[in-house]
Amino acid sequence: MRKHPWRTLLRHPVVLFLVFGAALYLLAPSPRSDDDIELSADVIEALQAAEARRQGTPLTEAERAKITALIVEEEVLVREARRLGLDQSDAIVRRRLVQKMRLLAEQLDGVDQPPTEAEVRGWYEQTRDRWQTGAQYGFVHVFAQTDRRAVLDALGPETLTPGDDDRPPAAGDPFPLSRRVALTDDDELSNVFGDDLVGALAALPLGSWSEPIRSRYGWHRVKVLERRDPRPASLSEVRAQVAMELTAQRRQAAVERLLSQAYPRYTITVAGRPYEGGPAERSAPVFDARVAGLETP
Amino acid sequence: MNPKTVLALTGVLVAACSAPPETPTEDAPRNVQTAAVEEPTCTPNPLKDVFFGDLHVHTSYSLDAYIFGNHDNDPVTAHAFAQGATVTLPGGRQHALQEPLDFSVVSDHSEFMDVIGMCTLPDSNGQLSNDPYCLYVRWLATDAGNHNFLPIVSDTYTDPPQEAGICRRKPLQCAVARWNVWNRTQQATTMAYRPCEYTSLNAYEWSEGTDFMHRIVVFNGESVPTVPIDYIHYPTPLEMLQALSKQCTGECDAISIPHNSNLTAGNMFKVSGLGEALYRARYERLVEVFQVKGNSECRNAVDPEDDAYDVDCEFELVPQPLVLPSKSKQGYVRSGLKSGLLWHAITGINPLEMGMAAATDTHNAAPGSVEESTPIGRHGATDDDPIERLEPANAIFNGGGLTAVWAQRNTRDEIFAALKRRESYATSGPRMRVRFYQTWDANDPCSDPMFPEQVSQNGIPMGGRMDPAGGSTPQFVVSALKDEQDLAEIHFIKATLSGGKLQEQVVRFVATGGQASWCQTWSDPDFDATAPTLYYARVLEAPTWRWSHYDCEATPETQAYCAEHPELDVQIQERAWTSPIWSLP
Repeated sequence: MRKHPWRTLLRHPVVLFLVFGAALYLLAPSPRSDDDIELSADVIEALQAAEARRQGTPLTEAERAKITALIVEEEVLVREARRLGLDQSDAIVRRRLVQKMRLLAEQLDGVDQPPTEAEVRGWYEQTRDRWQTGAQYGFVHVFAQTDRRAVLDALGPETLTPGDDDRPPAAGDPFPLSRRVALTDDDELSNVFGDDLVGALAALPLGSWSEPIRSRYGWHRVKVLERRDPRPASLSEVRAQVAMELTAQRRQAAVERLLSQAYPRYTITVAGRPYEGGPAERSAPVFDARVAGLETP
Repeated sequence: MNPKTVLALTGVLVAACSAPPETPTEDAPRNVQTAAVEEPTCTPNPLKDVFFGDLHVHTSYSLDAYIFGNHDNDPVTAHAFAQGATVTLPGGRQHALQEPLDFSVVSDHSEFMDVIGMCTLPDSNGQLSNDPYCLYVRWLATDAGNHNFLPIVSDTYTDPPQEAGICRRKPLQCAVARWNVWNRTQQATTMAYRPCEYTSLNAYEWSEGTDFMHRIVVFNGESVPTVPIDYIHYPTPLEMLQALSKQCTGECDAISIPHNSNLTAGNMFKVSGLGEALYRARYERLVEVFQVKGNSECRNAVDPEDDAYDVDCEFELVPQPLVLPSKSKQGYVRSGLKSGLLWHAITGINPLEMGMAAATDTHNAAPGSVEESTPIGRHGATDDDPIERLEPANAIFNGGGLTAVWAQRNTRDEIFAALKRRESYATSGPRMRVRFYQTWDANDPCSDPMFPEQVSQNGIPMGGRMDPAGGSTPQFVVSALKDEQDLAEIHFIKATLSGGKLQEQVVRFVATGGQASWCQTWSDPDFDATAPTLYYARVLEAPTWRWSHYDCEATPETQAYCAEHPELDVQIQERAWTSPIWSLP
């Protein structure tokens, strides 16, 4: 295996931290006028040293000079391109500038960092009325294949014991999923059992066995053991959604703030007429607590 | 909110509600801001529930995905999409999953994370992002640049591989950028994890250069290597796995999942020697049998010696045109599993003891986007409209698949453990529920209403090893529930090394009408306790329209195109493949 010792070293977190700091320092732009090109010895030497490490041998004088020449050449070309205005009409440069401006807005507002617990809690309080759980059911059931409903019809109270006994009866056909279903949201149950069976659960009295109910798999007799009505969700139940939503909202708000500050600086004319509009309308994604999905309101 | 995993068989009514203890935070990730991870409140189900996920997902942090035109959908987006969020895809279309996933990885390419960090992310300093190399990268990522990633990637395909162009000039900044992108990925993973409801796992793809020996490496938790192990520094599978064993220690555990073995000219399951065999046996617990770039289960060779023509291998194949079928066949999973039997017989080690996984390999940060009826493409701006998708180069791709695991609850520990013990099956997209056991018990599991209580106690589930000396006639059982479409066929597939020859057998059961639920047993009368053997099951749905049918119907233009290309307007039989059960004397 080709293995350079410095690469192993570079993987060490402490070294990476130092490297990161050093890189930020080295790369920070220094003020200079349009016609002065001033590259500090630090920058040149750091890049020469890096190249030497990459090669694994010290650089010759010619190689050092070549690196310097390349750095200077790059800077001269950038200046020339700017002098000719090549950065003005280039779609890629424009897109890049727009992207950087948006990201800068996010960084200035600190919203590129994950929200703190207090911020998450604050957003939850502010949007509290949207966070609801679904109806929940816990039940036990007996299953028969589509063409074997009669097997379930024939079951009597000696098999289907009423009350809070939660042991699935030894009857019916094999069912690969659980026959004792713990308290679960109705939309989740619908994904597994289908809407028909889940719809029927709402009408069943606790502790007594249903008549056969059709699902997409076959027939079920069901005894509902517990039921919970829809209720407001606690923060711990929806923390991840709240945090994701807040992150998205804050990113958008940061860009909107920047735009609303910047618009007054410009006199905007579109097709010869003064433009009165503001920034384009957008809506940040919002979680619908019932489906745990992002939906635009 | 959506407490998942709660289909639990418990002895106690909702024991789930007891207050959780505080989680100790010894396992804090390096350099990652940790979100408070709660102790899961769901009760483990000893009979296990099934969870569906995607084990191969690229975002804008993959260089090829970025150049394909996915500039914005990053790991945060991917985990949100997996949980049901509506996301704007490259090309502008809004899309959401019909049903959220239970788990997902983000597995961006290890290679070129540095270029992504230098040239596309905000942290990159202007001096870097305006580097001509970066300008070129971003130009390639436009329509004008033809979304062609090859100029950047092929530049590294020297022998030995060399760093990306900009990293040869700016190694320090590249190292920082690589580390930074990987940290952002970990942050997204941490933020997305919701115990009991959604499991996010750290992962990357090690993408070997020219022979397509690619692997997804999936981690158990937040302790991971400082930077992803890549092809440029570790160019062979052996070097990659050795590095993994050195860099993933302590709390860290990992599995490595080969994929697209169908595109490796028969090479994926060649093992270079005992050293590689040991590492593969340790890490390569699963294989991706199905993803957008083809079905890798099996291929019929035209060799006259090949008497076992399996018609169901002919499903969503993306063959390599310049490779002879007899050679290419060696790159398919069934051949790989058979080679494993031979390895075991000779060395006592099975480097190819791999369970079944499937995935999308989306490059749009859209995990689980497998629905045939809503094709959205996989490769950014290159296939974001129907007519592009129907072009020959794209029409060979399928809708992608999912991995299902049987686990006691939906937490990182349980999902990772299920992947590692191979208690998994692959599907070509639909979420059919499939159990598969071997038992020496003569009782019929299909007439046991309490199934799977008995068989899960005295039987072996998918992914396990049976006891060769447990009896004379092993019994196998598949119990399956359909997804939307009825089930049509159940197959038991056997491969064995008998009398010095590798043989295979497919036993088919065909439903007379459609089956919504189906329990099927099969006993192997020819079982030889002294012969290394494996069995897996395949469950086929009744035919449904392929994704291309829906694109054919999309516009007058595509209707006219498909009238000339009727091979696009077709039905397929979606299916599941279970992990094998091995008998290794």
